[in-house]
Amino acid sequence: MSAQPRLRMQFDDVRQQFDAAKLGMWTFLATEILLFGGLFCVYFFYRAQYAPGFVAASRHTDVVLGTIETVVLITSSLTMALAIRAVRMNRTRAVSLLLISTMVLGAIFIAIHAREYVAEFHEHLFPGQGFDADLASAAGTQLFFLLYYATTSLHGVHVCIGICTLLILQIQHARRRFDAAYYTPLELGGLYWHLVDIIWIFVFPLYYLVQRP
Amino acid sequence: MKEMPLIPLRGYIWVWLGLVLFVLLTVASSFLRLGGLNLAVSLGISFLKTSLVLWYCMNLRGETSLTRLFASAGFCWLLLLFVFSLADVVTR
Repeated sequence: MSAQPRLRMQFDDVRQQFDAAKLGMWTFLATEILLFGGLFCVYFFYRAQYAPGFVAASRHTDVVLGTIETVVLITSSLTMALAIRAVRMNRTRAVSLLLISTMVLGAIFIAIHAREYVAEFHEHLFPGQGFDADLASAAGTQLFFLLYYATTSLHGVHVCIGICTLLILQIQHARRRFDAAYYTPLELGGLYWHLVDIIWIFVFPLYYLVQRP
Repeated sequence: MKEMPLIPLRGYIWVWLGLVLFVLLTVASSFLRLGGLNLAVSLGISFLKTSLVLWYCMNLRGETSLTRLFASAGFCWLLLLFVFSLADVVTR
């Protein structure tokens, strides 16, 4: 059974409908870029003012776990891209396998980050009364961690939304809703997943790699 | 639907290897004392990684000019936000 796309009346053909859907998705992604861009802008603003504080605070983030997380997320982008490639080749089982791998990698990313948060709470790296006294003596260190938690948690929420989206897509795929002739929702879900990866590509050097000893 | 020809599997593996190599490079660069260049190097590598993801994974290479224009718009507006917000701090 072929997953025939339903051509809506406002489009000339299926190709135009597919392009319009992608155009809409890119418009939404632009709003996401600006959402995180605002946080990055605040980051650069304070980093310019409190450069030594940002260097000192950044050394307390876990660079090993951060690197592993980055590689995990990059690998999930590979499996996502391969899932789209597989659907275009009508390789149904490969699509499922690759979608599930992408979700698992996303979950591993979240798990590693949760572990980081726990370690940081124990090391008194949460801004406020209990913040590490030595570190607090340098101006801007609490601001660094405030931005770190805001940005990484917002990014983590996006990864979770991505996992849920892929789960829904996998359920639809199991019901034979997608094939080489129609896979628009998979393509859009993939675009979202890759954008979340791109955001992390900037989070990683700005928070973990300011300057290591 | 007419589509761009599929990228062979090894093409995606090369992109992935390139991305991992860039991750290792950016980590290594943070251990060097380059002063202000540290930020420039790590951001430069991030832009290269982003280009790879946009071009191959998000398939901008096979998109219409209009979609590419929309994709670049988000980044352009972000650049405007950065330039005008940070003009204050960098000229103090």
